[in-house]
Amino acid sequence: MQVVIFNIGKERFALETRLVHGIEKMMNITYVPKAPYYIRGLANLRGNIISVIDLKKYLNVDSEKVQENIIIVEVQEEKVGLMVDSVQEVVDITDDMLEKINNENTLTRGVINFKDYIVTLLDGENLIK
Amino acid sequence: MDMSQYLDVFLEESSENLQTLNQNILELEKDPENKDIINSIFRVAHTLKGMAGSMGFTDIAELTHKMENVLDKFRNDILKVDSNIINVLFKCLDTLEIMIDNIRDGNDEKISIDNLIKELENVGESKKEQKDEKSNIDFTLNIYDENIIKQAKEKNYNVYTAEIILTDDCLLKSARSFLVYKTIEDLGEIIKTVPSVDDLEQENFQDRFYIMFLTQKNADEVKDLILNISEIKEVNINSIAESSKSINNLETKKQSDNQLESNNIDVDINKKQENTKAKITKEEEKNKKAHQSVRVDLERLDKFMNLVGELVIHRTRLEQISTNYRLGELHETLEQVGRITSDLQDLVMKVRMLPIERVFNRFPRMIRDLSQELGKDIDLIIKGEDTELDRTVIDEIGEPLVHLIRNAADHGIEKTEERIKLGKPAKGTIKLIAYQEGNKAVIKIEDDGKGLDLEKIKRKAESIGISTEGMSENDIKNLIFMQGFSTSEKVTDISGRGVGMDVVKTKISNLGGTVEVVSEKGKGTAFIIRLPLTLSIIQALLVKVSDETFAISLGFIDRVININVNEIKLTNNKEVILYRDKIIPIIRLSEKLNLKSVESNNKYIVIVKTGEKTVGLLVDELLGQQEIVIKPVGKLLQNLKEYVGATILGDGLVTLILDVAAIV
Repeated sequence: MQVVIFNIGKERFALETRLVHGIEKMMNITYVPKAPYYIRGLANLRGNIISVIDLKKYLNVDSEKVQENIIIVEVQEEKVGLMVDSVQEVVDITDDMLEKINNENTLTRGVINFKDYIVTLLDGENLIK
Repeated sequence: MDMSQYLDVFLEESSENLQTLNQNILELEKDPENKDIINSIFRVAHTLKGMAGSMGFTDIAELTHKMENVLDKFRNDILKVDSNIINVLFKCLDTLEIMIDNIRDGNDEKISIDNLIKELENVGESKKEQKDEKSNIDFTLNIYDENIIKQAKEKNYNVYTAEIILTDDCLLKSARSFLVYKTIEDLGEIIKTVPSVDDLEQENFQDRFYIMFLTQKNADEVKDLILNISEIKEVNINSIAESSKSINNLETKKQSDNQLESNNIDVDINKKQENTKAKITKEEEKNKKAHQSVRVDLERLDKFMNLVGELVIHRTRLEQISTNYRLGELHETLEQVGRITSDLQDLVMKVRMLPIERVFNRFPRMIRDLSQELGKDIDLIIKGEDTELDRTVIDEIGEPLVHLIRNAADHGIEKTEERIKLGKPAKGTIKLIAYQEGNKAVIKIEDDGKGLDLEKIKRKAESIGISTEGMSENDIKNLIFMQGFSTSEKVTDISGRGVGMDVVKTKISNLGGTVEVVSEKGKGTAFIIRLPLTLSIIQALLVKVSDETFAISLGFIDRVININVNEIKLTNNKEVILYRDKIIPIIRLSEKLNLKSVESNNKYIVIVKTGEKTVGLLVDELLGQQEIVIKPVGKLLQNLKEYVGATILGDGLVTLILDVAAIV
């Protein structure tokens, strides 16, 4: 399985690359009054309008850093932007590195153990529902 | 082989084929003798069967196959068309539709077709006996046979068709038919038998069969000879005049055993039909040419439109640059580019347009079923079905129309006895008319029924706490669009649950359209729907509220006025302004949208009208009027009813489009 690893605050997260449509630099985002708190707004992705989720708020992670990247994911033919602090790398992982965690948080699929650090693997499909 | 790539094509084409079948069977019901319609139904059913078979949908293939069997009996005059059979056929079509829908939705639910197949087989069997004696037999001849007939005529041979009816208790049908065959063969030459000789040998016929033959003897002699054979009840011999032959190169008949020629000649005994037949064929050919088209995936069209939209945005940017740097040469070229992009935009809009026929198609069938259900005789007249609308409108408008038509049939049109008593024509009429009016499309649904009962509406209004005092008749009639407003005392299966009209209105408002009702007691009711021709491009006013820019569709805007905040008065704790002696309630958009308000006395009021309501929207700035392309905001924001969508402006920024109807 191939994953994209990115940073929010002091934590690292990952998403499966099969869901990732592209990685963009920060874009102009139009604020949408009355939208849910975690939705940053709408952006123009090459002529298509996409919603942008502020992942920091969605996952309730503290971060003072400037958000540099938007990861575009595509789930059920709908593209959505995920605002993150920065994208680190794309790596292949093996199943034995993945430790499933059984908690109520359906947004995560497990933890990837890289020995010197750990990364939370997000469930892209559940993220965008 | 991977079939998934063909699935879309299959689904689309099957839906179309089913629609055609529905239409054709309706026509057949009206004109049961028309062989062309039967042939056309046969062709379409055959295509459907073939496609379903090759895609591996055996149930569909099987059901269509059984339908074909029944149709084949129509074709060979073994079975007569009656409303019973038509109903069974319609049931089959409905089932096929459900099956195809299930495939589309990826629903694996199995639908039992056994009962239907049994029904089909039953109608095929039980009706055989009741065959009409005077039905005309279609002796299908090929050119080879035709030549023989011609030559025979030149040599003074007579061409006859004999109908031979066996006695009811005839035990050896094949033997009798063989004797008849032999007798006639001795007298001249047999051209054809119906059913075929094989079928005669295997007794695959009821009590009668037909033989076409040449002979020098006259009809009576032949008749006497045949009657000499035992167990023959009756013999009818008709001579075939050459004038009644016509050449029909309609189709290649697959069952033709003679492979020399693919062109068939139909010798039809009924002459009258020939003329209409030829006419229809011609029309069909014409239609085929007029509708030459390419099937394009809607997604591709959307992409195409997106790209054109992008092009427009960048053109605007380039124009900005060219003005900034005062580059004359660039400016000229840009003007050209501008013209081309506008043309391109127009074109892509037109490509998305579809004739409303797509929606209207299903209504004749619906009216037929409704009139059976309700026991009323109703005529549906459709006009202007070629009026074109944007694909999105076409997709959405069906449901409200179904509702209005059902209402017209159920509540509007009176029972036949009542109509006769009132001196109206016994048959009720519902008219469905579409036409273009400016940049709007108008759809009218008219019935000549009893009309709206003003008193009843008034009573109903008062019973739910609406005062109708001072309201014009027209206003009162339009109350029927309010939520929970149904004056029908009886809830029927068809309408009257009180959820109808407001849903109709909401749906049409969502499409940016309006609906009104005109009605005269005793004369009938007309619903008039006005819809924008295209949904995706609208004229909009751009306004600024706080730091955000919003677009408001010009369709809603009555006028825009500049005011001083101090002019806003309070009555009943609500903010209003007095404009031209009218009190207009004010909505502060900044408050409505939870934005911080700007401290300034000089503001603007955009007066908007939706239905009966007139409201002023308070905004901070006006940014001008512009043509914008509406784009969906996506699933995550779908629940926000404040916006109808968003658009991308010349500077590439996304701007929200306010849904005025939802805000006020």
